Amino acid sequence: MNFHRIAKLFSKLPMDWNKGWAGLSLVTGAALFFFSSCEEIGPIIDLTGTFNADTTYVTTQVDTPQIKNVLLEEFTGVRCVNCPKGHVLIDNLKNQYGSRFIAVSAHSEFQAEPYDGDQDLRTPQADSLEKLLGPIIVKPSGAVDRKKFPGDSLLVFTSKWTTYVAQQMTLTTPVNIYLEVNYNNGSRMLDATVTLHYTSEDTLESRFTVMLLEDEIITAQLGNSGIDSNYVQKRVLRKMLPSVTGIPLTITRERGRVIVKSFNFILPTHWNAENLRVVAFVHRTQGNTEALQVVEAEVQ
Amino acid sequence: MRYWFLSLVLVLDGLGVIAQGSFFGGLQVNTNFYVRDSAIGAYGPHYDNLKSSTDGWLNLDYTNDKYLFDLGMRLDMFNHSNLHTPGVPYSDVGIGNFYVRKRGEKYRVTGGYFYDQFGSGIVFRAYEDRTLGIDNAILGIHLEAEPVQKLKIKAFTGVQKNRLSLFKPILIGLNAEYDFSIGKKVRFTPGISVVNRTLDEATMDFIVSNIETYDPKGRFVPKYNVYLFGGYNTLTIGNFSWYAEAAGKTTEAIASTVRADSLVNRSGYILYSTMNYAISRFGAALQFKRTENFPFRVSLLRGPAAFEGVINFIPPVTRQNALRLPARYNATVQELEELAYSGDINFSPIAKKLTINFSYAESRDFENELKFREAFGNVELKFKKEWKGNVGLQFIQYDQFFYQRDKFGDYRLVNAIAPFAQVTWKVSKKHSLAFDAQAQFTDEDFGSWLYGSIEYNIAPWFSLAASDMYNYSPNPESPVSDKIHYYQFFTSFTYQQHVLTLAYSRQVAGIVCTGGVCRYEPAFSGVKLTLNSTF
Repeated sequence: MNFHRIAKLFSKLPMDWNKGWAGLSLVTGAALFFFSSCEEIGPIIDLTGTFNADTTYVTTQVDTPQIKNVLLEEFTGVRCVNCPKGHVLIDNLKNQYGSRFIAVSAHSEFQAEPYDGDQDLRTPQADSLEKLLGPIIVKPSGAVDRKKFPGDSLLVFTSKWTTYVAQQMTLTTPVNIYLEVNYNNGSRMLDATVTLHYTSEDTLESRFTVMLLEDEIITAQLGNSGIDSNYVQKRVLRKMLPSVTGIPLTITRERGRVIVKSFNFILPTHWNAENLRVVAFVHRTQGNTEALQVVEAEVQ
Repeated sequence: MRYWFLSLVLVLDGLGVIAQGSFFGGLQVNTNFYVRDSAIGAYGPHYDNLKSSTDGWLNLDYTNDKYLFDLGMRLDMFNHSNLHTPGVPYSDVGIGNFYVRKRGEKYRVTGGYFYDQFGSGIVFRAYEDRTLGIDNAILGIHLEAEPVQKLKIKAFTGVQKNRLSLFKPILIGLNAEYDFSIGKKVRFTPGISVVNRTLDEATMDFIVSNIETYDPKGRFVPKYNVYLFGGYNTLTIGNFSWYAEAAGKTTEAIASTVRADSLVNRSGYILYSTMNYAISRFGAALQFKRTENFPFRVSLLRGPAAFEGVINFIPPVTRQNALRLPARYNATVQELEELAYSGDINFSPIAKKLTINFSYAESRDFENELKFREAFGNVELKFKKEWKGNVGLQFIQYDQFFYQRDKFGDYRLVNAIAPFAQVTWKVSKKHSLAFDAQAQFTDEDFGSWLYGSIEYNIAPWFSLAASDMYNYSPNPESPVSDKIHYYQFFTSFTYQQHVLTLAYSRQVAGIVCTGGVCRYEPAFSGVKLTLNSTF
């Protein structure tokens, strides 16, 4: 059948019928065109889950083991009435232990909706972190060295923080972490190089995670005496690199093993580089999720 | 944007255009007062300290037939609301809806919030159901046109409403429907639809964060865009009609069946069909649906309520029961996998005096495991002018853990038989009495029930009712193992277009459904006051 015969056949159809089908075909064509644009460039995602160190080797000159530091990952929110009490407790622990105590304040969804005009401290990664360590029952609560203490969940209330932090301070670590941070003010590119140096063999499954925290963010905060509109938020979790669960250390970690891995990240313009810190820590994964060592460094 | 809308109204008023049209509107206020009753599980913040909640909607609309345009605005108010996520108070107030619409002979364009659906709604449906707290309006631009007679084209783009804020992902949709006949008895109404949703960065960040927690074999590169395509047709031949719809969905990250927080990269489809045949005194209907991986949501960062952020509507094929005890078990529509079918017949051996109905419905998963089965039959009687009756029996099998993620004992299916009888006595032209007696016999869930109600009506302005639902044989493993009465006293007053209702109610926890969209509602104890007005 040629085009002439098809046209002749269509010309015999009632006019409305003909135009209607033409219109429907046109829309179908538009819909197919819609589909033809399906190809897209997806997000950057780690599909392998395997570890590729920038550099790794085993040295005979093994460093002296670092003193173990302690990590507290706290879940907080600007609309959480009791959270300022948790912040005060963290400040007290920081005063007591100095650089050996590193705290992170994750503003996950619950009770963290920003007040009008304030920047939103919530992040999807804070929610994912809550899922990873939770479930959360009440805010403030937090994980001390991601350790599940007997009789408690991973996330514990403020009443347990002081005791558990003190307990963890007495432990030793098989891995030293060295953190070097460089920042380019013009490009806002942050480079963080993490060096893991094993001072004793570690055979259990573990990962390492990098976090960016920001201090001195002014927002409104609900407290026992109402809303404080000039509250200074500290150690706010901004970003986890490369992801919430961290990088699996899938190579052997004998005594003297050195692993070097770099990360880079362009800082969003509303983050103040002068108030940013980088935190790196090594932690277990299966069952026992305990952090082995944690260190921090300022961006500027 | 709301300020632009108000400015437009002021300008039109200044030009004297507003005076050439007419205003109309409506007010709906639902207030609950909570009375703590821990015996039935009615406790929580509403009962402990908030003590009351109010949901209110006030809309004012304007239509001008001279210049062919419409305007409208609605105030939404939620004070300690228990509507969207029962048990979790929500408070906010603001402009919940506004629109400007221009009409022509062959087109209609709307800017602002709009509701619409393509076909049966499988590919796209924006709608409001206040009983379930659903308001999936789209804020954007919506065009309807009929460029050729009987060819209707609809197109839209916008973002979905998220209570009193907005979701960020962008939606675009296109639909065309044509209507033509062959001869006098055969009529076709074919249509096609396509809808695209593009995720925002925050949602994608959340998805990536989740995926990177999985073992490598479970990881994938998620898509920003998902496309849905649907084709449908209604064929009518005399007394017979057949609706068939097929829809497909491109690959995107969806929550898997294995774990609700575990994402998988899947495409999906739906096949849906209904057939109806009706002649004098006889009618029959068949429905079929097969669903695979067809959740379509604005964002995985949607609100806490299960149906917030839903863009489409998958029609149910099971019966929607209205009677108190037969309505206790409903087959919630499944988005991930469902094979469901149903059949209904009705016939009237004596016209207008005796009607017999029978229906059967099943829902299964892809392993052919039964999730829901209902056999329902009833006889409707009318004798003299004063008496009407309705007697029937329902048999239900219901996989409680599958639908409710909870069960009270070592069973998979709830097996329940529910007989019922209703009588209405028209005492005089305006006065009537209605009696309702129901029972439900089961060893599972909360156990067996008796229900009775009496209702007195003075048409058209007054109604008074009392009912009791009695858990006379409770399942000892259920959270409420005592023999408890759930009574209700209800009254309503109607004056012109205004209806005021007042009820004292003790309500058992259970699944509440509207049109196949269901949710779990905890027990309620207290007073419900509602006002519905149009003006």
